Amino acid sequence: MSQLDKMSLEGKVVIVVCEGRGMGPEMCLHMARAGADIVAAARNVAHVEAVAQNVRALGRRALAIRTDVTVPSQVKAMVDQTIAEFGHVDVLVSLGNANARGAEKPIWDNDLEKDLAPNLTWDLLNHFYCAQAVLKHMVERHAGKIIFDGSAAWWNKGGRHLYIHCMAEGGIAGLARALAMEHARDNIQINVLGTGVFETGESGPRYAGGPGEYRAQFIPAKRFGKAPDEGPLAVFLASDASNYITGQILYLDGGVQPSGLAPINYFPTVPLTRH
Amino acid sequence: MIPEFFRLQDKVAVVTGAGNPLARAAGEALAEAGANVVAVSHRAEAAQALAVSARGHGRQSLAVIADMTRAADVRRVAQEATRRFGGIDILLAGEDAVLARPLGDTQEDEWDTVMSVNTKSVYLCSQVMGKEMVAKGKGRIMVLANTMGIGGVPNTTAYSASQGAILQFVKSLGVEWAATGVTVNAIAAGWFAEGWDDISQGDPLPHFIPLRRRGQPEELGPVAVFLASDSAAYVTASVYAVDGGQLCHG
Repeated sequence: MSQLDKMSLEGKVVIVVCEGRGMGPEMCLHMARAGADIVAAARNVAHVEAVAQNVRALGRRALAIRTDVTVPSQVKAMVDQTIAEFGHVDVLVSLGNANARGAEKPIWDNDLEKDLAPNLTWDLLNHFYCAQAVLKHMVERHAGKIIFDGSAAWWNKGGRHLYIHCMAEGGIAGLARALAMEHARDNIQINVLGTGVFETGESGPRYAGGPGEYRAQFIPAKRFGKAPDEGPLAVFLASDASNYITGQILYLDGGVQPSGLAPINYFPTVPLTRH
Repeated sequence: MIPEFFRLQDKVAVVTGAGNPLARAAGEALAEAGANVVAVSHRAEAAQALAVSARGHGRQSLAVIADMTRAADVRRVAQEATRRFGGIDILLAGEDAVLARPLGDTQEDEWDTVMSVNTKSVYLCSQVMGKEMVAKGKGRIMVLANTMGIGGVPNTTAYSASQGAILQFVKSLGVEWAATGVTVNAIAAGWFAEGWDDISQGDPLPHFIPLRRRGQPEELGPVAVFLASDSAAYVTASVYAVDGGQLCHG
């Protein structure tokens, strides 16, 4: 089998933990088109049941499991049910909360119970719960992939009122790297999708900061990412063709991560000057 | 009053690129902190200006006119520094050629100049002047670089490539020489009021900078002094960005 053949997900069982809207459905369909059987886990089971039907229409097996990703026992139950139904899990994609921005207030107004705890759970701990639920199984199989959906910008940059979210994104990167190093010897690869500003698929970008077009001006590519932009990269990371890539953030961001040094329209002209 | 553990009393600092306003300011700070300065530039008036400033701080200083892209000149600087001061303790590599042009308009000779002045000079100076530092078991190399070696700015392919190159050079040499007592670090400057573009007719950047202003060259002084001091013995292969928060800007 050539390296390119390994880009197929034929025979793989992929869990996509999502909200049911936005990136999740497209992610499941891309995985299915690459040959995988799909478990779509979300709080809104009606949304992911529709996804499951679309996957079956492609000739793959699919299961929609109602899962509140902020409740560790539900995450564990979902993984257990997947293994019971399909025999094993190859890949877990943890998309997290599409709209988590944390409480928009200065830190001294932050209520630890009402603001900090839930936002940290939606942004960070849900990824922890997913990894915790699936890793031992992957270690026992000596194979597995975990993909966290993270932010292209907020893991190493800051912004107004974003301290919880940035804390979480830095946490996701750290979690991925640490687990990647710990379980590299188990033939498990763990990476982060560094997604930029994406449309949720319903309306507007994930990180709403104003009208859509205005916001898009601050992206080098001058547009938001769309759900179909994310699927193929996730498929690659889910496949055996990426077995040598681990502990990385792979950006999918229209140029956001390296930008920020200057306004988008800054195209300077400076004559050659040797000081 | 500078705390005594930051002082550079009687250390010998070679400062290259004295015509670079940022290197000059950092060199003046090294002098203010107690170092004797060998001021190097391909331009006589630039080398002299830094030497005069250093003497103004009560230090001794030697101006050397030399081209740090040429190995023979680099060796001559090292020899003159050693002859005059007995050795070299600190290298502040500040040679800088700036250019901003779309890639399609970037000429081959311009590319070569930018890479040679910005990158090759760092290699030559570190190699020649670092050699005796390693032999002595102690030394400080600080490379003046730019945050364009980390982030992406349009129209700056040659310049950004040269900065990325020297940042990686610092990381590699820093770990290569980590056990020798010679530290190698980079100071990555963000948007400063001098040394990059002409802002006399207007400046498009300050509102975009988290601290809402450009940096002043003298603000590089304390970082350079710290990294040059005995107090920074555990800092190596590092990049210290002085950029008003720009790298954190989302």
